[in-house]
Amino acid sequence: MSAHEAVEHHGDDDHHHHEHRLRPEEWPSEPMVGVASAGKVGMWWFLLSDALMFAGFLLAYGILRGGSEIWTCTQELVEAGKCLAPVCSDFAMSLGAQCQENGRFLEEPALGINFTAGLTFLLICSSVTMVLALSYCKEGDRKNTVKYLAITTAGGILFLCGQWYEYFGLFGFPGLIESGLAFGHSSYATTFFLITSFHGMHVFSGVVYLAITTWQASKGRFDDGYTSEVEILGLFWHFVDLIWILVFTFIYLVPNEHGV
Amino acid sequence: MGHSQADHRKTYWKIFVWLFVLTVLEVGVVYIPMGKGTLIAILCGMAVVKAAMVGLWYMHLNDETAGLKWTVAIPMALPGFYAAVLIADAAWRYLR
Repeated sequence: MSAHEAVEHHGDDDHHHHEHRLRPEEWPSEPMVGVASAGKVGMWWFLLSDALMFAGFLLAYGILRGGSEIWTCTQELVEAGKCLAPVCSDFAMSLGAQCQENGRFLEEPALGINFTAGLTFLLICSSVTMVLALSYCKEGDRKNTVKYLAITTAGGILFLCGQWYEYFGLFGFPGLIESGLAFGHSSYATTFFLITSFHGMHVFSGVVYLAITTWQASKGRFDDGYTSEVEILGLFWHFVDLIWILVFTFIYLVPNEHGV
Repeated sequence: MGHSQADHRKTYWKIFVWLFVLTVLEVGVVYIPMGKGTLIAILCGMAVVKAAMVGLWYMHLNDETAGLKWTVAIPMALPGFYAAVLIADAAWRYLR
């Protein structure tokens, strides 16, 4: 049965759906998208809508930041009476926050550029291992496919651990919440939590998606050249990396009036 | 003639090195004294180059048809256009 016939007869015998999984080279060519599979085009559509959502958040962040006279309420500004430090919440105190006598923090903390650069490097590493997994998958090399998918999954988990540390602290090291970054206190704090947690949810989804695909690969699902599913997973994971590159630049690296 | 997967893997590692180098430069340039506008322009430029590398090589947009490339590129470029309009608006209000 030709590829075209396979697609046309797909609805007739769904119970034999495995017979109709097409290898990338078998997918019927189409003028607009070439031999890209329906699943792959669908993932691109989803990623575009997701990208526009991130763009909305980042543009709103830019407008808020560009229009604010004070972005980060530092100790110097608090002492000059130009802004109020965040109120020490019960949650922050439960994490071990050291509060002032007036029930407020000393200031809003700066974001850790060097630590987050490490997280950025981690995502870049996980992107190269993802694309290597796909490359080995196309060669039918199950062992290396599983190995690189597993490393990619581990990279995603480590990133989430890093984000947990950044928010809540870990092993006695204080996180941002404990240091005075309070959701709702300022546009600085609120946009930070909104954008980084939205990205973090993508990483979490990606880790689950990766873990399932790694398990499927270990069972030999892609041994016979049906690599589209791994490629589609790769699109999602690389997108998570791509967005982080922009978030890292706009949220962490762009300096404020009072230094980085 | 198509490239082998081994050739592709060499390219992926080269892109990885570029991404690493650009990330180090991004962090390093923040500590160099310069005008805020210049720094932001440099940072945005490097971020766009890195994002394009991921899109073109790791997401394989390089290998797609012109139709799919444009379908992705146009919506991706729109936020950049909106950002340019906002920056121009802010600059106009600042300078007048």
